[in-house]
Amino acid sequence: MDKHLNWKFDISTFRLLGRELITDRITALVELVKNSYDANATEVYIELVNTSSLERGRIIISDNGIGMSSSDIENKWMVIGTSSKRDKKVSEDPFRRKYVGEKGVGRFAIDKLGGKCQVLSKKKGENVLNRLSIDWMTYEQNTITKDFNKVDNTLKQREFLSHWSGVRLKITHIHDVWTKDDINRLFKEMSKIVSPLANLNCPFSIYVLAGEFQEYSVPKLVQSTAIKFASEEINLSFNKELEYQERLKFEHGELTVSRSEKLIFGYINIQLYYFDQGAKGNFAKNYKGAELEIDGIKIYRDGILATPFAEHEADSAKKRDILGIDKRRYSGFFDKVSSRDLIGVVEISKELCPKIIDATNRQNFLDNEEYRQLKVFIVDQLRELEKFLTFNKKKIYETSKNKLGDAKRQLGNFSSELKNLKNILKDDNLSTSDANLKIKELENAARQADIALKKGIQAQKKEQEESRRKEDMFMSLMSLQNYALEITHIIKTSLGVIKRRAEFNKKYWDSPNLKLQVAIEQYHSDIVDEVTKLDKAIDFMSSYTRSHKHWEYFSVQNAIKVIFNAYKPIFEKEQIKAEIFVDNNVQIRYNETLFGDIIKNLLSNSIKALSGLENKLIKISALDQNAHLEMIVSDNGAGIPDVMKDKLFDIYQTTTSEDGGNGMGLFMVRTNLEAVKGTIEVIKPEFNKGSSFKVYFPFKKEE
Amino acid sequence: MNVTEVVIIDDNIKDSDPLILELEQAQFAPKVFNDSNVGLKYILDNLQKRIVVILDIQLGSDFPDGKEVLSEIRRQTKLLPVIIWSAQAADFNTEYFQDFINNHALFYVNQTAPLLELINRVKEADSLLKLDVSTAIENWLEEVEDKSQTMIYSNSGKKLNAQDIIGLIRSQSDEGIELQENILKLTIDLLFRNKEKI
Repeated sequence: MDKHLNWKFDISTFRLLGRELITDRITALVELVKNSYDANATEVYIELVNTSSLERGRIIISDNGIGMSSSDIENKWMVIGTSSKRDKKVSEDPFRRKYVGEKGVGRFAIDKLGGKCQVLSKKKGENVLNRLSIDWMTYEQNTITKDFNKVDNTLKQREFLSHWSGVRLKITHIHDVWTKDDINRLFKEMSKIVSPLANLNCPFSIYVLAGEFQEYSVPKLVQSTAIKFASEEINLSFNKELEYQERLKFEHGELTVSRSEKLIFGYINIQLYYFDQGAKGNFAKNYKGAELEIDGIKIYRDGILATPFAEHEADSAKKRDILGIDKRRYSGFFDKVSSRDLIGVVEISKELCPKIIDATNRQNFLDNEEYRQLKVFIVDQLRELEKFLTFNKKKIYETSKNKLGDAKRQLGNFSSELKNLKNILKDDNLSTSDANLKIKELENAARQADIALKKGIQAQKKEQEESRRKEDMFMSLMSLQNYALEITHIIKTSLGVIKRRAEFNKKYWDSPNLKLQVAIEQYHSDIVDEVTKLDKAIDFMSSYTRSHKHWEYFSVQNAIKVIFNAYKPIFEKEQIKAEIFVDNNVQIRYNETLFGDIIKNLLSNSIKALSGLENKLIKISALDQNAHLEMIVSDNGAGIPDVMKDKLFDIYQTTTSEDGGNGMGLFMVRTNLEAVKGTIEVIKPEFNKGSSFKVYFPFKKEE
Repeated sequence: MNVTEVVIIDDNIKDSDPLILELEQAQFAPKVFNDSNVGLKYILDNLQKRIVVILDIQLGSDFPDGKEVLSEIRRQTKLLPVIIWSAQAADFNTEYFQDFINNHALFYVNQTAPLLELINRVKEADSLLKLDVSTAIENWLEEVEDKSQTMIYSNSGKKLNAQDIIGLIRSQSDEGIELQENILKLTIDLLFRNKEKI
């Protein structure tokens, strides 16, 4: 006969589980507070009453969250190990907080704190107060069955007309005495789960109250400590009456707040916290508030998270980057800050920024001039911060370099002093074998120190070179990426033209329709033309396959001609007259691909600057100037706007993805040139309008 | 029967492109615009016509690009079907395409895809135009001679003439959709009341 067996859940197992999950009583309280957070509470009070006595002590945790109904208590709270948080990742509207509580272990937390517990709860929108009494002690005394399921807990209900909703846990028969130090420790731990930005979207305040101690005799508000880990803190505000908006400015080695006139998008507040590597480490180690991550800048409108529209995305790599911070291609590299280095809040309001409007699908804001300018403004602030960080990095490097130099000098002094001392002793016949031995030891030590120092200096130099080399490589890669985008488009367009014609010819080749036959003939020659164009484009592209040849002598004239040929279709289409004046036989020793990048970047800029104008001209001249090659690239386009002149060679912000690498071109040109001690500068426009760039290649021409 | 116009805005395409001939073979009336400004103006001036748009993205540096053209069209109407036809690799950048989706681009067809795919998409767009209730109401209103005459009063007591209603329906705003639903309800109600006469 079959016998059915059921699993039985022993009480000791339950407690064992609980103790594994909740290691100490402070963690227990943290877990309970996290549950309040998940329940959309805006306030939590932790009250420790007479907790210096085990008999009289009680701990009360009350919140104003959405509360639990009797069904919630019965089917969720009382079912061990279940958690509705497994299915849902975020709390209810309007906060949609990312759940931070552990999965269904809050109940164990209560057990950790005391022997009895009373749960009072009122669900939001209901008028019923639920009171559940749990006596863990009964469980322990229940030695007969020891079966967890056999113990009754009482749930009482009564009508309760109140606006309050939430949960109030009263824990009595406490297991441990709470001293002032314990409460201080509790307070400190709590400060790690509060967001410094909590005053915005999700107001969440924790108060600790412990009447036995003066400091906690009135509810003490827990303040966040997260921000103290940040390496830079920036607050930008505005004044509507005086019509100014604050903005960052890096000047003379300092990051300052300056004022600008009212901007097109309105007035905004910005709070920015930047975390360098060390700060990030400290943050991760000390800050447990899972609702706060170093995850970039968010926009809040009138206190509600507007973007990234409160969507939950655990994988930070998949988070949307609508401000385009990481799209600046250099994210995380070198001098660029990425959203993984920043916590930031941009506060806008309907009243002060009326033109910043949600897109209908709430995936972004409506793409209008105001929003574009807002993005530019935000990224501008980051640029200033980046300048400051780069400056600091250099300063630190210089300081340590100087210190090493100082140390070396001092060591030199020390060695010569030692030599003097040796001579004096010798002259005065004072030298004993002991003294000689000591001096020798000192000399040895000095020599060792000298060797170590030299090694240190060498290592530092090497590291600097290495970092420069990596940066150069990266730059080249970036230009390749941009170029690949461009070339893909050209090739695909061409392929489309060919394919459509080939398809058409295949389909109608035997059609008696005269019109179609004429077309077929035309398409044959179109195909030949397109293939010729493609062939040229591919030739041009293959220059990149030769980029492994780092340094070589090449003819400047040929190199420029190859590029001009490749650009010919664009010149024709845009009706640009392009001229080259290059001394015959001028050769330079450089990386031809990088040289090509420089020309292409300057050409692209000129083409853009010529857009919409008439009589378009581009001219490149290159002159042999003995020690260097001087190249001038000019156009008669729109010229460089005054506001751009200062930041022309910086990587300027790319605020929209379609701009991709636009705006980094000149930065790349300058960086490439710096690598070979070349320079680039803006000179007076050759055509009296438009722009002219002068480029120096300081390489000796081949004799 | 009116022939559906297919407006192609692409800076590279020639009037002699096979696409044009294929569209003609499929009984459409293609119109090519290399200048996106002119193409856009044509569309906006002819909103009452049955038009399907084939729109390239990169349209030359002197002209509004596909994104701008689409958003301009959408300022006026949500009802016009727009097919994006680009040489941009489809995986180029998802965020980039998001804007097109936001602006209700109907399909995306790569320029290297078989021509038949594009023609089929145009046919689908055309049948959508023929079957779509909003478009039907729009067409009906377009036929109203005096568009300034009040036709209905809204729930809030606002007077609406044919031109207002066309605007609301084209905008597909909440108000427009509600109005459209009410017109539909009314139509069904009227049909049922006079069932015997159908």
